[in-house]
Amino acid sequence: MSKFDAGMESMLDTFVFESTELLENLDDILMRTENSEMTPDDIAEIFRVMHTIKGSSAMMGLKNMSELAHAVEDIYFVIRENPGLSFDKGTLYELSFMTSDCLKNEIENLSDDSVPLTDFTENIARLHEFAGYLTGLSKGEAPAAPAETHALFAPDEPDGVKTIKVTFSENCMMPSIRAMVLLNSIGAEAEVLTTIPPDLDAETSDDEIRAQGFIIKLNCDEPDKVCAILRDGVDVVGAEELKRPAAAAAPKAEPSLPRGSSENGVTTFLIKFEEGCLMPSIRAMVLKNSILAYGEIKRTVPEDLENDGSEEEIAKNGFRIEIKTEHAEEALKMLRDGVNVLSADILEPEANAEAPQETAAAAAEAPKPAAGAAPAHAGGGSHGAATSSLISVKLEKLDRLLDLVAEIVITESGVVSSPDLRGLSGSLDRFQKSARELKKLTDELQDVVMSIRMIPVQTAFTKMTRVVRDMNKTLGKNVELVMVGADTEADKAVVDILGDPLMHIVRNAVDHGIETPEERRAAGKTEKPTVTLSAGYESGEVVISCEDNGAGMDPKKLLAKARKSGILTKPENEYTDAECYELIMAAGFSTNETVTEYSGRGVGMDVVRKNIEKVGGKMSIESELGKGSKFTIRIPLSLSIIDVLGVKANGCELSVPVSSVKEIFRAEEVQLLKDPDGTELVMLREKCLRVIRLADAFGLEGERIPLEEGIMLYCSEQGRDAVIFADELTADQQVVVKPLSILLNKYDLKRKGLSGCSILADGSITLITDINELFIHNGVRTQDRG
Amino acid sequence: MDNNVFGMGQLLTFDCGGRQFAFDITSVTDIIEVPEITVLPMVADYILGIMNLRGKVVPVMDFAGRMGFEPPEYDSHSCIIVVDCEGALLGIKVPRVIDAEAYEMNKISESPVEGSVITGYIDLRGRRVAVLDCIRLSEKNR
Repeated sequence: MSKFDAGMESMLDTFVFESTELLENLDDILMRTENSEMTPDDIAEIFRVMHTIKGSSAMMGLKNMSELAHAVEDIYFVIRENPGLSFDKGTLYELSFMTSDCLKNEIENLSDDSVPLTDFTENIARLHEFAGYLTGLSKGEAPAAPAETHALFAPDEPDGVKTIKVTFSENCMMPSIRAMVLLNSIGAEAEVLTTIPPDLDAETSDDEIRAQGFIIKLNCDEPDKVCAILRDGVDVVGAEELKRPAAAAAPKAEPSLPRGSSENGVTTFLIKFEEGCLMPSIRAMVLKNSILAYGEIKRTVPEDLENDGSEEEIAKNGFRIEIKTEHAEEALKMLRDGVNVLSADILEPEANAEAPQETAAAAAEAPKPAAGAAPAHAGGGSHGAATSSLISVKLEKLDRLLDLVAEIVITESGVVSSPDLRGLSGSLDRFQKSARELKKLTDELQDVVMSIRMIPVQTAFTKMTRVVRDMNKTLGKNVELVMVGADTEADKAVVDILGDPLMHIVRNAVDHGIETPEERRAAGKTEKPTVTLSAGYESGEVVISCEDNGAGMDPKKLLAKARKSGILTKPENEYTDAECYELIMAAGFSTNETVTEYSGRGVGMDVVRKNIEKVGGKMSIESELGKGSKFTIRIPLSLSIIDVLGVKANGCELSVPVSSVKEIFRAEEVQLLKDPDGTELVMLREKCLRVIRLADAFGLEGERIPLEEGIMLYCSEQGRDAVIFADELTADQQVVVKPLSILLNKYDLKRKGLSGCSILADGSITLITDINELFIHNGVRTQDRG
Repeated sequence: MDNNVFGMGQLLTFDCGGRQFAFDITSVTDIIEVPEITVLPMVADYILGIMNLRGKVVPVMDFAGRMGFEPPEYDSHSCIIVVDCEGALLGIKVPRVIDAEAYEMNKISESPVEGSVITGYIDLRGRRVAVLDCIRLSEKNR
């Protein structure tokens, strides 16, 4: 049984993507405002985040998440409506972070059916409790509105005073709260003089508003604009200006429902949903899509299903679709079969054709999505505009695009340098000119496509703010995290991989690197403890560093510790400082005696280094005792592109990743040795290394050339050193690695040292070796440990 | 299009050393000239290597070798049939492609041999043609 509604699988990716982004946004705001003030914009944004998550998880059928988000939404609702309310900020943040974590975990486990949906009842209870506490506070502090006459139009009322009546939908839970919201939202446009009922906090006000609507008297220049704002409000059914003489006439409470159109062949359906139906607008959208099969949709009411108001409207008035169809009966049947559909009927056309127009206009004016937050946003920055210019694309599509472009580039060179052209007599000037043009364009196309996959490392960095914040809370170190160059871009896959190692390094920096406040005072350090994350480019690589101004590392201590762990590989006095620092990345090394929550969980720096090396990266460490340490990670810009050395072995073209090669040399006869069992060896500066002939390792037939005549590649991979022997060196190039076909799986080529292949610019294929696997497969031992 | 409705299908028939074989045409994606094939070490002899098919790296198999036949004569008519084995492409080098021919599905006599690369036999205009299962031929799940 899947966790979410059947039929929603296709939405899962989008849901996960959007929710994750929203939650990151939430963390961002929380982090930014924790030690400062929350602006109304921030509150509105958090509210919007929770509201969206509530809605989308309800749509997915994830009731637990929806309820949790709802509980938080409630809290922020109270806060938003009561600016100036002073409350226990610590608890609010704790609860908010808790929710954020809960939701994130839940999203992470969504696709894993073995992990059941988490029960958030306890968390929700805590949130409700806090919401209750807030509401209590707000009730006590909100100033009582001045009591005024109930008469709708006082005889002495000046002419400039407008009267607006707002009606709420019947099932609106607390119209008085809604009314309060409305008053706040029109604050900028008008000066509110008085309201009926006057005291919104009064117990009776809810009933009063339900009975007669909510009447606002105000001073303003553009009553229409105010009405529009009011209509945007949650649960608001109508808002209109009452004219003094017209007051006697009963105000039209709601826009009249459109009748069926009389146009030929157009049928109007009225669909009502069951009462418990979550998000009827989504159901309506589904119906709208499926009815397309029966005819052309002329119009729906409400028109914009994505907007917040549509929910209530559908719940109250039902959902109408006008379609031009000849199969009205079939369509009706389909509609009745829809999920949560209570009833579906065909509306008979009426003579009054004007009515629909009227409502259509009203619908057009209907609230825009996320009405609460949108205006605040537009004022706050360019965010509103930015979201609309972004689209999310599946990575597979991009990869396909990248493949296609690569194919075009290859085909292009095939066309331009086609052997057929050689036979042509006459000038090819114009052809050559066009060919150059084409080349320029394809090159540009390739660049653009590559750049699409690039994302700023910001994503990986931002997660660290949270890590540091949490650690500050528990360790009391008050570390400041500084980010430099977070807009540096790298391939998405690179940035994704960066997350874990970075987290580990930052944790280490805060936990081990930065001293406790007492220690800092004792050392006479006055500057704030900081951890600086920086990113930048350096010769085709992304360079990420994490620097702290903490205690630094003592090479002597490291050595002593390494000796204890028995991981030294040479005499102690031969270790340079730099080599000492590298010791902490060796397996089986841990500097901290006491295991804390944040480090020493058995996953050491060696794992970090391994992960980085796996993607072709390198890691280095600098440190100065008493001043701090710096960890630097270098990763190629794009994962799939690697630098290789092209070699030939018995006629076979092979590529050796440059990252594995330490040195290239030609062996002299004096360097060569032979073990009694026939193993070929070479002496390289007092080191005796095994020679592995690529031709032998890959079983390539042919003549065995003398070792002096070929080329030696001194390779080192994870503690294994050996020399790879090939006939000649052919090229030094960058290639895009492609895996070998799964049809070749049974030959286990990867384990034998062939990791993939690559298509070169001329269309030929080169095989890429995996030196590490090759060493393991050929029994190269790791260096003995002292 | 609606061949299936009438129990009709199409076979791509080819000749290998005088014997005739066929793939169901729906599994065939390309028929190409023999391109440059990069030799792959450490694989069975009948895996000729890998080729570049419009930017995709596709393994190439020698049909005769795979079937254990005497090496046939290859000439300018020899070509590579590219078949889709549940998403993975496989090139199969054959001496000569004959034609795409319509056949009646129920005319195939199923092979009683379990797990054989030949699913059945059919007589097409007097010629006996063995119909191949490309997944089994590719040894995909071994």
